[in-house]
Amino acid sequence: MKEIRIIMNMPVIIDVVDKNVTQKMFDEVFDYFIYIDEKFSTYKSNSEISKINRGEVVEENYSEDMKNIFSLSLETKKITNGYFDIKKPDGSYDPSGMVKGWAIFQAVKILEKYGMKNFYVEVAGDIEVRGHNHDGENWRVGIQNPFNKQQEIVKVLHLTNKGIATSGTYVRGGHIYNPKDGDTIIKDIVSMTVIGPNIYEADRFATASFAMGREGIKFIESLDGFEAYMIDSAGIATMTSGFNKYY
Amino acid sequence: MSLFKKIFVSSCFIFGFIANVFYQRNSDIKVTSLAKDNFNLITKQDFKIEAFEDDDEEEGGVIGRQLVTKPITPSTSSAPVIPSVPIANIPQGKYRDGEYLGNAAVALYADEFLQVKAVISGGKISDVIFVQSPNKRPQSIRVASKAMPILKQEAISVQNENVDAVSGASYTSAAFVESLGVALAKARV
Repeated sequence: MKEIRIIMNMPVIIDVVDKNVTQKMFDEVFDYFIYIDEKFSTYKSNSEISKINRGEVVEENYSEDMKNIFSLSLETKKITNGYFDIKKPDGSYDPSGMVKGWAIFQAVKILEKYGMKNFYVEVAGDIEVRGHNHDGENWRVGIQNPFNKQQEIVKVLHLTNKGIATSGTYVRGGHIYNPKDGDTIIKDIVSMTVIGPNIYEADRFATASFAMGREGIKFIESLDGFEAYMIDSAGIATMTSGFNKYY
Repeated sequence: MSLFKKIFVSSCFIFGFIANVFYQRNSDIKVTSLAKDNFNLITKQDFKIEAFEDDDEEEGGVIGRQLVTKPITPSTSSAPVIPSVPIANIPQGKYRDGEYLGNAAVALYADEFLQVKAVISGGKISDVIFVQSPNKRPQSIRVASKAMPILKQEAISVQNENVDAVSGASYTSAAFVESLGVALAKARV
């Protein structure tokens, strides 16, 4: 059973192979993403993050999920030597680089709670895959051609029990900044796809490694359990040394 | 202060200033690593600095600058035109089964369009398909980039295999949401 809904202005896609899946499970996962949007969307003036950015909430009164996100963001900032940072150049917080992957990871737990074993959950190109697809094989995930937004594929990967996230230019109609260099916009590389043990890990490191520019591929190479495929503005892809096990 | 002392102090400043200029123009500069923990973001390198900008002297020391050459980019040098489309209200509620085409919404560059088709099954969105636009941007000239040691490189090429899902960074574009919104408005019961 497969269903797509637009939440957080992005397509949220759930595809479950297990025969005993129910609509109730789907509804619970979609409702979870609506909850996430209400809390973390910087586009919603009543969201908790918008209130925080207006100075209306002190840190000790943040909700548990918000405290969790800030804590994970700080830890990620340290691991990535500052290249992952939810604080924007204007001083406001935008945790979307952390929330998307983290929320998918929590949503996957909902399906697992019901005993689902073969499925994927995706939000706008960030995907966690579990078990096998409808043909009984590893999930086939394509990497989108960053130069043609008509969903051309430039690489086909075969994945199971992994998270895959792609950071690239023109995300959210804006840019990914290099937090080490004021408001320099990343232009040298156009796409960084990271495969990790789950989508939370893949997403945070995709965001951080993209901000590092061309050096990002070396960062992922240095991490155990992660592989990456980086595409530069000349259309040349560089991959980590273990990436070939996925295609 | 006597005249002799004034001349002496002034000469020392002038001499020091000239010496600093010569020193900076001819030094090999070591850029130390920013590596922390178990990875190196920038490795130790020696740079021979060919030219400096004049404001370096004001900081009172030797400052290394890496000469950066901009790669030739395939895209035009102008910044992408981000359409000022308000975030579309995606209609919620029941949909009729069938396939519904969205509009060709302006995406990113003024000469590029993005169009989607919504597939409704059982009253729900079961798929969103990208429709090939007749106004595709021409493929740009590919310039070989500097090879990275050890890591494998390849020129990207379009694959025609079917896939279950796609990982990419373009779904958040306003054009995608706009085109899908139009498709869903047609599908609404």
